[in-house]
Amino acid sequence: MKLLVYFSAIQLAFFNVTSMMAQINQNYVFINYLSQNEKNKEALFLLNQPNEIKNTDTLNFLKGYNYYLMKKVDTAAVMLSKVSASSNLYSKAKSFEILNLLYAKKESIALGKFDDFSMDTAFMYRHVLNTMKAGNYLLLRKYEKFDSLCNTFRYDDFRLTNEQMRLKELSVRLKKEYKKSPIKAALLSSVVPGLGKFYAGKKGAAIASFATTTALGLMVVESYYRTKNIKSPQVITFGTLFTFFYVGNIFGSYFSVQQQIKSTNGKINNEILASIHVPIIRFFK
Amino acid sequence: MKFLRVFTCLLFVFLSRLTYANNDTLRLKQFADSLFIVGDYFEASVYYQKLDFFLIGENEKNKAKLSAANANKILKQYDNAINILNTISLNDVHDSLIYLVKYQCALLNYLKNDFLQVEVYLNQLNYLVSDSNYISKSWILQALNLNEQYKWDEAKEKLLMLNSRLYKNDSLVYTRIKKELDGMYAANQLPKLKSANKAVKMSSLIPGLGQCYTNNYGEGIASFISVASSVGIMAAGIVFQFYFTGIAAGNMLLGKFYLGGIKRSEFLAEKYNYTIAKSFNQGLKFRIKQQFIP
Amino acid sequence: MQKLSILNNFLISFFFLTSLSQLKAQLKSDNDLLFGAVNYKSEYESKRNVTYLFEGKHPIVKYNPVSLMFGGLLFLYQKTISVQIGAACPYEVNCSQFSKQCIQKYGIFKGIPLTADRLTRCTKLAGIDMVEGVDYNSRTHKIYDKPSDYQKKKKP
Repeated sequence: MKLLVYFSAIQLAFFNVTSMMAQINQNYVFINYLSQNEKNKEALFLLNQPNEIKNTDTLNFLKGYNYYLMKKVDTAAVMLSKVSASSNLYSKAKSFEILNLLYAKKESIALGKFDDFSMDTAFMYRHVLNTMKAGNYLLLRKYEKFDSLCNTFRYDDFRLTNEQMRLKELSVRLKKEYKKSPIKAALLSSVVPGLGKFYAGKKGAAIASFATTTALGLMVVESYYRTKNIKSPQVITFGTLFTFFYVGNIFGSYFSVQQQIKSTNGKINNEILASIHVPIIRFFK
Repeated sequence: MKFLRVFTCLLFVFLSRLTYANNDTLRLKQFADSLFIVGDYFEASVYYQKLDFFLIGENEKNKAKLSAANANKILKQYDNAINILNTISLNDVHDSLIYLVKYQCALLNYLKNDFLQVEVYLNQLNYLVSDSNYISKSWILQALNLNEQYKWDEAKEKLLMLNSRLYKNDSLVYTRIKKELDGMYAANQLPKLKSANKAVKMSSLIPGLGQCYTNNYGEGIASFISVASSVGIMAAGIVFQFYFTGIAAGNMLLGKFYLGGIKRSEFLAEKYNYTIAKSFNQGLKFRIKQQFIP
Repeated sequence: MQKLSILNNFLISFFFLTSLSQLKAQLKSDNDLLFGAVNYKSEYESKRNVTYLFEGKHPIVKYNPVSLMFGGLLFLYQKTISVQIGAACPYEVNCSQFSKQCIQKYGIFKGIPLTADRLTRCTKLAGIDMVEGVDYNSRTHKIYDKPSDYQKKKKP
């Protein structure tokens, strides 16, 4: 009789524990479901409740992953860095942390994180890590280090080939882009209105500037031609308007060089980030 | 005897496991309900969705989804609520559930001020449900929706249909409500709308006339003066032999003011319609509520 | 143990019935929501808030004839003319706001030429080489162009 009581008590305890474990496993499954179906706010709310997920590493990883999906890259990087090295999610967390740091424009910090991978991971995934590191160097514009890593590219893994070739193309484009000087643009604009903007690369704005300034200039010429008096009100009004637009055109050309550099840099950086993003999703899913 | 004891112990263990399993979802449901009653609607909706995820029976799942959508509705997250409701499968279910889902979707779109989508959902309801008891319950929402779309005649028709259905056995109430409806929707009570197309045509003929048509006389006069002065600048330029100046400057100014005036008159016509219809519809709503909602 | 399962069944049916009453309460509040809803379109309801260019500055700066001319012109334009012509600027910071902020930040001698330059660029033609996300907002399709972009950058 006693044996039966003990036996049933053990069975109850066993079922108790398994159902609790089943519940925590179910919590994880549900939170995964929410994260992948764009319900990230709901997932984060559940993750912030106590006792939802017992394992702190999984908890931090899920939080970081949800922040990454919501495009909050700074918080995502912080959460993902808390995943400890003993967890089996460590390499995935590390690579996503690097990606988020790069999106948050903290390229030098991201560079230091490459050393945090374990020896085994660093060897097994060396090709994709080299591609990521090369992209990182390119974002920092360190061309020599990029070139030395580029020599290790083998272009034989279909999951990496496209991105490796794209990084190489982008580096060639970056090196070819010679510096344009804003002062030269301003000088060109003072000779022919709009030419400075054309030199900077803004063709549409150049045409618009040229058209307006020449139109006003012609108006000044015509009013002088009709009134034959430089002090007449028509010449003075059109003259002041023409001066404003002419000086404005010079200012605009000076600053347009800066803007164009920022714009092309931004475009190239977006492409580099895409070349790093895609392999991470393919390898560490 | 020993075999019987073993059997009963195992049965006890088995039953306690069953109740424990039932207890999990039951506890979750109680928790979600308590959050809802207290007023934590976001938290309640998350737990209802979790309940839906783990339940197996279609009936209970649908109930959980409806509660989650309800919580989102109170939170004014109308798009979330509609998305949750659209995941309920309507194959081979009872008409009451179809009515509930489609009516709620229509109501959510009405609260979102998306009146065309309300029509879509009410049409689906009419198509899918054959029992006319349920369809007549949606007629009030349909009438209010038609009001907002300025279709007052159709709205009155719908309300008359509802009246005859509800009170066909009680002729006193029936005639009273019919008289009220005739008074509410009488032709001289209905707001007189301005046509946007007519305003555009008037403004393209004489600049400023479209604005005057919509009772914005100040703007109309200002628009007329601006267009007239730009034409005057062009003419003065040609007369005083400032050909290039006159034509270029006059052309630019004329284009801006003339085309801008046309766009503006269309906007003003729509704004006028919106303003007068709004107050009229609010009054109608109040009186419809008095008649049909006890 | 039999009593335990009976109690459980009772609890389950009790909560089922209470959930039915919750559904009934929902219908009542639906009618409240339906009749309490208000049709609101912000483009017909919002009012423009226009401030004078030299607001809050020293009276000499505020009321001298030059500033009165420019400030008054901008005020008039924003209040009356831009409403009439239905102006729709492709930039995020529209041209009159840009001009106001430039003059407030850089003074008249730099502000007015920058305004003039912006007016020449304020066409769809100037946006042909723009890059999504970098030059213009991918959600609203308006081009980024702030007055703080026009500061002389100090080389480190």
